[in-house]
Amino acid sequence: MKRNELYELRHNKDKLKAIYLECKPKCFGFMVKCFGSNNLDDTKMFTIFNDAVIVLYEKSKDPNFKLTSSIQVYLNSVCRNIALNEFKKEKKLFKTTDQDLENSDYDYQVTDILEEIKADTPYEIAIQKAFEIMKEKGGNCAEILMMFWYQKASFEEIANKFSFKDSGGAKSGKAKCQKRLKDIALQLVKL
Amino acid sequence: MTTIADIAKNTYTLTFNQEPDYNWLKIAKVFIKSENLETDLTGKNLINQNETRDQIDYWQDLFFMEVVEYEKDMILDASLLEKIKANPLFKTNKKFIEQLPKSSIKPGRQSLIESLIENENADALIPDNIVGTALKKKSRDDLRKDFKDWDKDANSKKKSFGYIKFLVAAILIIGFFIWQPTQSTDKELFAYYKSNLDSITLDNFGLLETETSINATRGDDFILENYSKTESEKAISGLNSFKEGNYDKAKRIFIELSPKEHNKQILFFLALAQLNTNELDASILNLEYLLTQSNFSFSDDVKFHLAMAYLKQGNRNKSQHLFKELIVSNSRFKEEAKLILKKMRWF
Repeated sequence: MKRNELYELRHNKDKLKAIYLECKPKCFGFMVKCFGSNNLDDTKMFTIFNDAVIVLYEKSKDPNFKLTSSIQVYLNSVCRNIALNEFKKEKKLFKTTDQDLENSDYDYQVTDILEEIKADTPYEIAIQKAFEIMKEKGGNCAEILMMFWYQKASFEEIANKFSFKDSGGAKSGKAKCQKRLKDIALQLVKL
Repeated sequence: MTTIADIAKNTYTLTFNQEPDYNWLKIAKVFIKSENLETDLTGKNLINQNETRDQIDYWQDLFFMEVVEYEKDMILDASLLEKIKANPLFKTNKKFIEQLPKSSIKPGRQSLIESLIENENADALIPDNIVGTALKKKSRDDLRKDFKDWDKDANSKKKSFGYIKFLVAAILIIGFFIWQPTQSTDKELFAYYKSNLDSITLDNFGLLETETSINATRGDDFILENYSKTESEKAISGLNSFKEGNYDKAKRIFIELSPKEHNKQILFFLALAQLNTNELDASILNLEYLLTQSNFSFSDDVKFHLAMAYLKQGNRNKSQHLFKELIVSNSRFKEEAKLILKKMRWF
């Protein structure tokens, strides 16, 4: 995949959505072929697939990331890795039926899985909860902050999405939202 | 290149929605060095728009938040930089900004997936055998509104007890469980749980089966199945305590009545009281037992609460299995089960 395609994946939600829709059925089919439907129900496959898409999305932010196969194969591979990891956590012994899989279905060199991020400190936990509270209360603040801090969106992108006058307006909006988030988080920490 | 004067000015505008002609550089230096901010700002006539103390504090905090974020873009003389770094507000904001990226990952991921599956063809994205043909996305706000309406309806009706009142209570409990994500702490989960149990009134015990033989109701007496009059009164007192949120007391009363040997409905309330007081294992044992009882009138309720208990315990496989059973059997918890399955932890 070319660099600009990765950039598009990272910045164009429509592109990511298109990939999501396109790759999902084949990923499901791959997981059934790999593990059988008895070992992985649909709910679990759904969760695994979502995690795999997040892995792809987050990797696309990494300038050193190189996709050496198709997106479908990459997602299949990540789904496989995540599933195996889950079986390991559940202490479930399972041997994939690798010999039944076509070589083109997945790339054994792909070892990526979703990195679990756990909020460790009381403050981090409070900030996460503050996000939830802001989201529940409505408004755009939570999304603006997630766009900035998680998606690494530019102020121009934020301005376009939320109809700010310009990037300066987006910057001001983000600052206000951030102050609000901090105030909520501090209250939660005190509790 | 951002200067501290720019930051002082921009944050003032954000705070006060105006842009007077102040000496922003002097103000910035006062922010950094002052130990008595309001006095120094007004005393030196640096501000004169009747800014209140709270507003000035807000402005100063915002100022330091911006200084932290744009620290690397600024060129400052060494002594000023040293004073900035020593300022307590700078330190607290620095801690906040440092922790923000990591803290935004989980909500960011969740938001990302929600935006991807949000689709007019939503059904096509989720396999039929997960949610059935009937799953339409009912928004959280719609359900909240329904719960409020049901609660209002239940409270305004006459207190002759029917199964519906318990259903309202169960739905409120269910509603609580739906609206508290599995990521919630126990404290949050049960604090909200408690506030939603008001519908379980004393009259609600009418749902409990009464023996139709010798222990028929006499006047206002309610005799519960397999219990004497005295025991029934105790059970009612336990239910009252349950309704008041006094789960420890309710638990003590129910335990004394040996409900496992006598009355499965009381055992059910005991299990819920145990769930409310974090006796997860005991609650699960009782709910699992009730699940094995054929013809138990609350079997779907048992299944649902057991599924939630497993979820809290971290036993997601068992939890999911029960939710799916509730869906497949077309129980009244079908829609809630679908929602919860859909919203179960992705990370």
